[in-house]
Amino acid sequence: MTATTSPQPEAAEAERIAALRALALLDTPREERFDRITRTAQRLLDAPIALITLVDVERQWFKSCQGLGISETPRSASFCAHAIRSDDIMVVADSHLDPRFVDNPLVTTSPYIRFYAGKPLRSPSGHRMGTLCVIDTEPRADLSDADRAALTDLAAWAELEFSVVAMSRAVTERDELRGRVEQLKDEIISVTGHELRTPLTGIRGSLGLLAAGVAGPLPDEARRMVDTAVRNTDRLIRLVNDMLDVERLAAGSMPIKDETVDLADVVDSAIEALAPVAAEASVTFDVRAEPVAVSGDKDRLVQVVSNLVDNAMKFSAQGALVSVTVSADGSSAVLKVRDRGCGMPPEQLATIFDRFAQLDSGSARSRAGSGLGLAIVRGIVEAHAGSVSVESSPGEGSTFTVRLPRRGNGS
Amino acid sequence: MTHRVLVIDDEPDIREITQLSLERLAGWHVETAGNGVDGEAMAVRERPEAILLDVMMPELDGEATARAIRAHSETRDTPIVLMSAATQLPEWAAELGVRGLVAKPFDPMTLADAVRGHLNW
Repeated sequence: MTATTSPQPEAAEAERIAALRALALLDTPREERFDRITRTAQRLLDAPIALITLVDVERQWFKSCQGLGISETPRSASFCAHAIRSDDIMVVADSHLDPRFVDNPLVTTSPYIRFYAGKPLRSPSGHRMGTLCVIDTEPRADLSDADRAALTDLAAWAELEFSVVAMSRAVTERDELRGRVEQLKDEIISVTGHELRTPLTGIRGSLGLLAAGVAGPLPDEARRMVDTAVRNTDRLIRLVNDMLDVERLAAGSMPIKDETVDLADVVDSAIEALAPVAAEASVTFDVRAEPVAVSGDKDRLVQVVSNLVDNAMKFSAQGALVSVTVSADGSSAVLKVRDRGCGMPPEQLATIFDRFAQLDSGSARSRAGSGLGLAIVRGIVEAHAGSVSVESSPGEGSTFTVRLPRRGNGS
Repeated sequence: MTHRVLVIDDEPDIREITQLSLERLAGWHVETAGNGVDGEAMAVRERPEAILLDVMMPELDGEATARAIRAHSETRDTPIVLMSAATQLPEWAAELGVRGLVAKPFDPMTLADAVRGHLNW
């Protein structure tokens, strides 16, 4: 038997052992995927014993074992440790005639090995992990060509199963990693959000006190600067709030109350709060809301209407009309918000409810917003077992439709 | 009408802004404490009409402080309004008789109105 051709046998063996550890099959439970291979080898080669072995540092361990009542042997007594030195099938026709094995305890005592034929098995990384081998307690002439072919095919099958095991583990690990990354991202947003609020409270508070004249009356120019600072701080605060809302909606950790809410009341509250902004933008509201009861969280539903109407105003020209309607449609409550703005091309509609969707669209960027408003709308609506959709075409304006299950109406 | 309130918050800047806002803009009298232990002692000693309590504080947090305050007969029924970076009342709020929440960041111009609203003043 020739020794390994590697110039650094110890380094090569260390690498092989690392690959064996990476395969992570040592000391795992029996698996049918490997047992069916050894059963087939046993039958095809008419052998009392068939094994899939993994050659470890000090032992060989049997991933699958037919006809033998043990799960491992010392490596020093291992035939397979010899077999894995090359890619070829190693045949020991009669152990009593082979000086390497004549004194082997597996030959001189149970299981009294006389005949051995082992085909090395490569890991997906290309390292020889162990063998698929058949063993007889009687000597044999040699291995027939048909038996060689069968052993070679079955070994290829076993290597395929190694790959399947490695791949399914890789998929599991990737999914776990994705989950961890997602979780970490949510945590970062949450912690950052809270950490941003404290300094923002200090900034917004100081600016507010200055604007209120607590430090004395401000000259006109200073007053304008403070107003600008207040406006931009408020914008930053909205962004932080929106980010936290999106994060909580994505994580499913936003508490949603379950109360009877009149959707018409919700619209009234939202419109009332937006009146000053509408006046500034010279946008007129046309509200037609009939009372329709839904189950949910009034504050969150007000947020839905506010975000949709705010969005509609952003895309409205001066003096334009924004229509808001609430109606019942069978078991659904239907809210529609329509603007007469520039509308959107179909490719933009597909991503309009995604987080930061607006960041992709250059034209809309001038209209200040976090790009999170519609993502929050969808998150809240879905948390209420509802759906939101949009119809739009360029030049025609857009209509957003929210459908929520009506309360106590067979839904 | 002059109200006497106690502000408990670990952030000195927030304490100062809250105090300036409520004293200078609303004309209230404000005492401040920088941690839950001092806040509890001050609450019992000064008997304020209401307590504005930060939720996230090191060592004694908002909940522990509220529990400590409620354990004294002098402050068993003193109205507590939370000031928090969270936008919703924590679970323990109802049990400890919390009257409402002022979300941080707040507008100092309207802080007194927000507190009044929670206390029906």
